[in-house]
Amino acid sequence: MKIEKLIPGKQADFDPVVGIDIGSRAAKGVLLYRDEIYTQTLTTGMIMQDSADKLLKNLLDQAGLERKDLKYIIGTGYGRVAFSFPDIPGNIISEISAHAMGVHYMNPKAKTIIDIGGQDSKAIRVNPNTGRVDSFIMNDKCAAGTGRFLEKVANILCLEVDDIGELSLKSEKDLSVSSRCVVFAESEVISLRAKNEKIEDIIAGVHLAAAQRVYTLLKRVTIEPDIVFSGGVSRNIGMRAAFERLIGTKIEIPVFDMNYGGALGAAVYAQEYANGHIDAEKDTSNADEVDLNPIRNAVQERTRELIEDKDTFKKVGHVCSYVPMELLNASGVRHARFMHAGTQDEVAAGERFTSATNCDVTKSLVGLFETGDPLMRSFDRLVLFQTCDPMKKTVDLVNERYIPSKMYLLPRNRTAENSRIFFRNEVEEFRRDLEELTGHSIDEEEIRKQIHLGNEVKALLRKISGLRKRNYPALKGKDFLEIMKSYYYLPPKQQIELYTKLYEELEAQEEKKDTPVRIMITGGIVAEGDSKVLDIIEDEFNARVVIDDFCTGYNPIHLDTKEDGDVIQNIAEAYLDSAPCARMVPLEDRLQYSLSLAEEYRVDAVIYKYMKFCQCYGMTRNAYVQAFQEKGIPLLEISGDYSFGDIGQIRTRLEAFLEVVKEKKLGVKK
Amino acid sequence: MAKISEHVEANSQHEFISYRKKETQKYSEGIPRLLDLAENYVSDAEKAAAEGKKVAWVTEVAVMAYATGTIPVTHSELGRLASPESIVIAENHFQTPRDICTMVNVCLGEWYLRRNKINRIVGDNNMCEAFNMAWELLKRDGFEVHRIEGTCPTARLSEEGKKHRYELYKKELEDLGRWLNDGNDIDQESLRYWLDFENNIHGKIKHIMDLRAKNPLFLKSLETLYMLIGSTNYFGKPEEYKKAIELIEKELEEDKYHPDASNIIPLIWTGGRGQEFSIFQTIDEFGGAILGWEIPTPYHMTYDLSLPPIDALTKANFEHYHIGPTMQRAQFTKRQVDRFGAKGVLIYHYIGCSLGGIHRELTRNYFHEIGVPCLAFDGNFDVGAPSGQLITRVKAFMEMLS
Repeated sequence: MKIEKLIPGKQADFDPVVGIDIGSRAAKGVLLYRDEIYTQTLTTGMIMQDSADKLLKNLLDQAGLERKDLKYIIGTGYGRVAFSFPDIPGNIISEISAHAMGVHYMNPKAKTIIDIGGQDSKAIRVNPNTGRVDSFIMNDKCAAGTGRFLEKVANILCLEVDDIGELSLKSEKDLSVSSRCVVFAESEVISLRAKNEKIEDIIAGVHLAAAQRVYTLLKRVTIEPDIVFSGGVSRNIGMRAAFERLIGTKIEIPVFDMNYGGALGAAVYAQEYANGHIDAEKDTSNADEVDLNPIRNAVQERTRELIEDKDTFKKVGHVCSYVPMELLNASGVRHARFMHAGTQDEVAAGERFTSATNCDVTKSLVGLFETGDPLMRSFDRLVLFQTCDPMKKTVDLVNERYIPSKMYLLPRNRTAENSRIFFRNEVEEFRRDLEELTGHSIDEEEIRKQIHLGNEVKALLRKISGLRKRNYPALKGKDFLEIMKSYYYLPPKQQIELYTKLYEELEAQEEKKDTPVRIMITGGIVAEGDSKVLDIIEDEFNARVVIDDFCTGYNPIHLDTKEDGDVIQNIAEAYLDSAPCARMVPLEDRLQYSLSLAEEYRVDAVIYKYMKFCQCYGMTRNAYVQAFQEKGIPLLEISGDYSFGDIGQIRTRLEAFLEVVKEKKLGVKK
Repeated sequence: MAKISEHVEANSQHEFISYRKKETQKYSEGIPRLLDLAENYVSDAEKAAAEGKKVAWVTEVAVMAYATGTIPVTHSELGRLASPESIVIAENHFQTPRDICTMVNVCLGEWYLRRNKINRIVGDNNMCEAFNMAWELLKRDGFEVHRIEGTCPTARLSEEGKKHRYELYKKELEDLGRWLNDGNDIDQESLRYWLDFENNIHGKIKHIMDLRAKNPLFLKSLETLYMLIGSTNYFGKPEEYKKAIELIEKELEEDKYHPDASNIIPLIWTGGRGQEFSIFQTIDEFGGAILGWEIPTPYHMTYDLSLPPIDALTKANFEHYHIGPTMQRAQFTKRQVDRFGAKGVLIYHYIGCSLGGIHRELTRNYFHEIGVPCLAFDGNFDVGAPSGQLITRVKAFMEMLS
């Protein structure tokens, strides 16, 4: 088909370039050649490469070309990671960038894009001058508001998914469908059927509910005309009507079938790559390897001692960074912090006593006890300074079923005089409990000594972290997390020895001139083993996490503890004054702290990462978004769990986000 | 199986209340009055605020509000008002994640919708994380929020530790008194008066609960819940509430209306307050009667007036079982099971409540181990149309016990 037929007046002269978009339900391909556009779609098969090969063959046949004629090929969509066309110059891009470019090509005035596919929905802000993504939001691991959701409802009502849009327009009555998830919606739809509600009214309610989900995303990127509907679901006129009702303005749907929006965008990008407008070479420069083996081995050895020793010393497990380590060290107990991301089996075991809406941190802790984890079972006591309510209840559970456990209160009103007096008493209670556990008193001078050692350790760790302010930090974000793990396992003197050596090695490394994208991760706990986001950022996209604003990262070492005067009061105040957790009041303190870290470490962008079902960081996410937006720092939020089922979606988001950030940082060749 | 009464199809709590008012007017003067008070509580409080009276959203410290001449409106009332719009506002304006519990989403949305009516909120830090975060978000929308630091006894707490936690809580209540009282210390005699008033109300409630055990169909489940909820906030009208429950007490004593309850299934309710009319309607229709309640409203509490009033209040709230360890609550529930000869326990929480999740599982496990049948289920805080799936589970449980 002539491109001019789709876009009147559009002059086009493409080299033979192809865009292939392998989605979860359908594989789409677009070939651009001279002033013609060729399209093809297939149902996505089990083997993504086969789908891509078939599409390509069909497109080439339509255009009368051969593989060797192709100038460039771009893959996008969920299947992009499996692409391999070794005989054709090519690359992969995220479907977010692809859809933005596809829409831009069809409608250069477009500023806001609604893109709904089989398993994703996205709200995208596109730059009308370049077709590049300005910002975007994507649904999390939930089918509500996606094509799958509509398909499921159509199945329940014995309808064809292609018919439901038109049917919904016949509705005469508003019905409420909450659509919290596909499962709940299914139950609701069945209830509505049982009440003899008309199918068209139910379907319209479902469309409105699905649109509402995406509308929530749209509001987060700011809605501005022209608004264009793209993706497979754009064919559904019922969804378009639902959006128009919610937004109160017209939704544009180009003449071109926007099911091919992603593939078209990929093809347009392919031409840019072919023209050399975009540098296709991956940034492969890596910093020198950092040898963390001495630290790693010391932690392993310490863990072995904790597990194997039966009588020599008392052992305390602790949860949360607010547990005063100075007192643990002064008491002579051996201790370790729970910071383990549970395996699938451990999380599943934890579900015996948790609900579906508990986070995986909670489930992992319960799961470790349920599965008889030797480290957790080796502790004489588990202690918690009130992290959050689910953890409070978890400690209740551990105390009831596994080992003696106790929770100490941590006041939220951290600056209030009442709180500061009170928290001293809670720390004092902790001291008494440690004395009772070990059978000997904890000398004040020993506490002072431990405060001093602790300050030395924190200062060293801050120095190590400070090296990440260099243009190309030698230390990766995940390396720093490994070091921080040792902070919770090793005795201070051993830490000082190991960290001093490490600092000297790092400091001696020559500074590189490269400037990778500098990322700050902020939000809730990033447990040991929960490194998928860091892995993708640092290993796949060569960006650097230069500062980790969370409780298993930099935050606990942020502040020293006063050494003179009342040592217990000093400890209480040091923990209350340290980098605040989101549960502390006021929230503004937390936001200011994050902003100051971002500035100190010169970050280009922020990843706001939190555990699914974490109320503290989930509820406050928008406050973070607004705070960083005001400073002009791009922020991407990612919520998730310890499974790997969402890794594809996370990769898509990170890839698109880093594309945007990189372009902003380095500029775009045009 | 218990006889099923005629099913009434109600699509909202208002419809159900209207229906119950008509039904109960046939044999009671007190119950329709109680339902009126419950139904008009928030709108009347908002009118009072518009007239310049002191009004604040509070948690379980309504007595402090009364002692400072403030009309308290308890957070839990927002559920009764909930419109689908409230959830939309929570998700759009506040951008709360979908997995946050309905209670918090609804409250956030409703507070926002009512932001120009009553904009003072007392937040108890003991409440769940989501509520605590919600108050911080509301501050950004111009609400004046006073936070009371939450303390409670926990497992393995020493006497010394308990004393310190008690002291903190007392200071926090004193601060709250000043906040409610325009910066002035709370008048101790006024506080004593309202503590005594509440003791008196609680005494009547306990008596009604005893009488109701013998005549369970006089006051049905949702009406009983309203009565309990009103036992601390009086729906903003203390004397009218007192009059309503005195009438109910008298009517139960006179025993003029006493439907046959020989096949009744005695039950205990534990967890959230619920307020989903459809659940209570189902329980009633299937011959159940909730005789004992373990809910956040401390209707069984008695203030020790031999103590200075602020101590009497602090002590009673501090020792309230509901905020303590799960086993303490489960044991309270077990005593209710024994007292009323209950055949089963209903464990209720709101969808998405992560605090309630582990508590629920521990409670279920406890009753399972001692052989008391229980049904754990999650409900919605926004009391919209009944969920078929939920009703099916309640029905099946009732059938199992009958």
